[in-house]
Amino acid sequence: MNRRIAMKYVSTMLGLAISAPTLSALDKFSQKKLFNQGQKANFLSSEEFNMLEEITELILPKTNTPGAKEAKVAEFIDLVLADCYIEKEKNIFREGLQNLLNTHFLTLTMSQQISFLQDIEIASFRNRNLSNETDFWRILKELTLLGYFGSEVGIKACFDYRPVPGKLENVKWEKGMKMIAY
Amino acid sequence: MEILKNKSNRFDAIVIGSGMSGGFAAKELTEKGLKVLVVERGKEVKHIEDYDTAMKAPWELPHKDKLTLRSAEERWANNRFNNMAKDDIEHFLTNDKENPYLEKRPFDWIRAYHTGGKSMHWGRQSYRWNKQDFEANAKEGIGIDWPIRYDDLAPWYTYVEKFVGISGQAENWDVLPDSYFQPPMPMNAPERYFKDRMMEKLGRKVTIGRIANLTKPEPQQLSLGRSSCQYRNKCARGCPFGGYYSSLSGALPSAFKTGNLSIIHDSIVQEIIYDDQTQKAKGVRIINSQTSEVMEYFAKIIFLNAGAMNSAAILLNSKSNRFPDGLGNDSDQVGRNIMDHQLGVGANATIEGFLDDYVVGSRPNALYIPRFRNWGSDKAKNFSRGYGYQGGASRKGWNRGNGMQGFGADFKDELSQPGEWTFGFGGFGEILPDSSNRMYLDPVKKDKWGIPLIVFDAAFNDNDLAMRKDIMENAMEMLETAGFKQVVGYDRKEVHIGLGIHEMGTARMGLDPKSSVLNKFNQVHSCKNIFVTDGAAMTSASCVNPSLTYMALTARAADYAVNALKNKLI
Repeated sequence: MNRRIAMKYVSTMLGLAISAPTLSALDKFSQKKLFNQGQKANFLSSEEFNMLEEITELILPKTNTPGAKEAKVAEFIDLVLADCYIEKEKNIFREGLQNLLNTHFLTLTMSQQISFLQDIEIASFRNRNLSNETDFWRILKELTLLGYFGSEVGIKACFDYRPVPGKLENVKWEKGMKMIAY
Repeated sequence: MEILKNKSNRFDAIVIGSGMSGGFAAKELTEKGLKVLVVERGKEVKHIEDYDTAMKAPWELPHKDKLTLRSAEERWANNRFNNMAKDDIEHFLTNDKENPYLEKRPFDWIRAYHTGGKSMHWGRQSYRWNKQDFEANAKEGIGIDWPIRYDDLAPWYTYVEKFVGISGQAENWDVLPDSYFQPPMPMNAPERYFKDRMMEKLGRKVTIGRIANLTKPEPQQLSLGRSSCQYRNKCARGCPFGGYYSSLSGALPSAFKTGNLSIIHDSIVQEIIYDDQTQKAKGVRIINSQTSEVMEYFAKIIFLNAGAMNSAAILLNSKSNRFPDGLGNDSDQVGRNIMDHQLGVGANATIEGFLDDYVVGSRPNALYIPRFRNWGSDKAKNFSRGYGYQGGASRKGWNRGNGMQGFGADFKDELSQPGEWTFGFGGFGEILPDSSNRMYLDPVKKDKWGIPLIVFDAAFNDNDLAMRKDIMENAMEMLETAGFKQVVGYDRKEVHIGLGIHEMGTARMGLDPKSSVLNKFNQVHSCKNIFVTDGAAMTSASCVNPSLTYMALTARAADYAVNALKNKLI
């Protein structure tokens, strides 16, 4: 179902009058190029990238919904590090990854890996009370969450994605409902 | 949109700027039969068709809500507003690096050089001024008196509201006169609770935001292809449904329907050409921003709607024998009295309970708490005027995970569920006119088209700073009184004048040509065929969002201008 048909369907359902120019434009929107395209960055080395993939999967693992790997979270982190983070932050992040590589993180058992990351998190939260400076864990966790819950895989698996809600309504939250994403 | 096809460079009227007030001027003048040329300095944006990101899903924006380093560098001023030039709307914000300005004292100048200007991504909050707003300057001996009163503008408010479409709740309050409303958007459960507590405990009023989003479109709006708000809350990208009002969705299409409108883009007005013989303005000289070609266009009247700062800059740069210090600047008030609204100060809290309440649809609106300070029997000890608050309640989403310890399967499942409710609001405070808060043209430095750079020299004064403190303290007190938890106040120290994006005052209206630039019909005192009807015209700032007032002033001035033309008064 293309967007135009989808919109006609929505608008008929809601009894809304959607104008012809709107409908015809909706067809063309999917081909619209963005001002900011975002190129594959390859900021991280393949060694760093592979380990990052494993770490993001530990943070948001596959359960009855897909995990961070399937949502390509590491690719997002790689792109955003390259395009959005200043040199100092880039270095902090890379240093964090290098420290883990030096401990041969990937050779540890999963429970060892988890407790390793827990230690990093505890230290990070302790630092947060002392200083505003960011650290490896803060960047990692923020980008992992954003990369996952902002991905098509993550949004469609975890939330009720409604690009055109068409109404505003107070409702009761009931078990089994999903949060709505827009 | 139709590009100027005929070779003629003569029109009945020229409107400089296609934004909130310029668009409205074009609509009014063309509907009254005038042949109008709109001159827009930025690129062309076509309504709906050019809203490139409007229907992009979150995952289609490569950097999601992260700001690129390139945007941070190129849009260094725009990004002072919450790093807003991200993938979704960067293309609708001006490249500050290519369009620099100078700061003797810091000024946060947010610009949108394209069809529709800032009406493309305005906050859409729409409030009438109250009677006091027009009278306070005279009563308190601050600045100069307004040459008009509420009753002069009231019918024009109604006229504009019927066209624009304002959703809101009629309340019959003196402090916040009702508009012609479409049905209000609902408050959510904690907001209704908050509203009741505020009235009960503090006697303070709360209403749903009055907003230029359609909730029950009327024939005027439907005939322009506009439909109801879809509750996507992505207004700033441009709405393919025409759900909110902008110059692009409303005024300009209306003007085009008349067949009387021509519009040119990429056309920077260098100056208004003054004719010493007729003692009137006769046209404008423009520079094409792409080709640097210089062109002149002529008209009987000129509406100057370039945005408060650029309108003043154009007057200052229009020098002649009669006006060596800038057109209409006999009073030396052009560029002075910069006002804005206080922004970036308020409080947040979390709410216990209401966990079985949820909302379907993303409301592009908030609550409004009208001014209570220095109103009625309330007297603030150490500052004049007042402020309103805007904000509301929402449930935390997945991003609360950033502040939580933990990760793994349970963590992920938890973040897929809604979190607790939070409540937050911020103040919009009235800034007083102060002639030392000003902008002027640099005598030496020029932009790449040879036009002098604007220099800003303005800052908050003692009244503003005392008010900011009160805004934060009262916000905290109100949240505590409501029984909310973890109340935290904020007062962002990096905020300067300008960040409210309600810049005003640089060519103020007044009765006396010695102390003002414009008369009661927004005519330049000393050059009666120029009308300035954007924020520059404002004599004081009120604390409510100003666009509705700009449009009402514009419609009123256009009506006067057309009659004056007919009667050969100008």
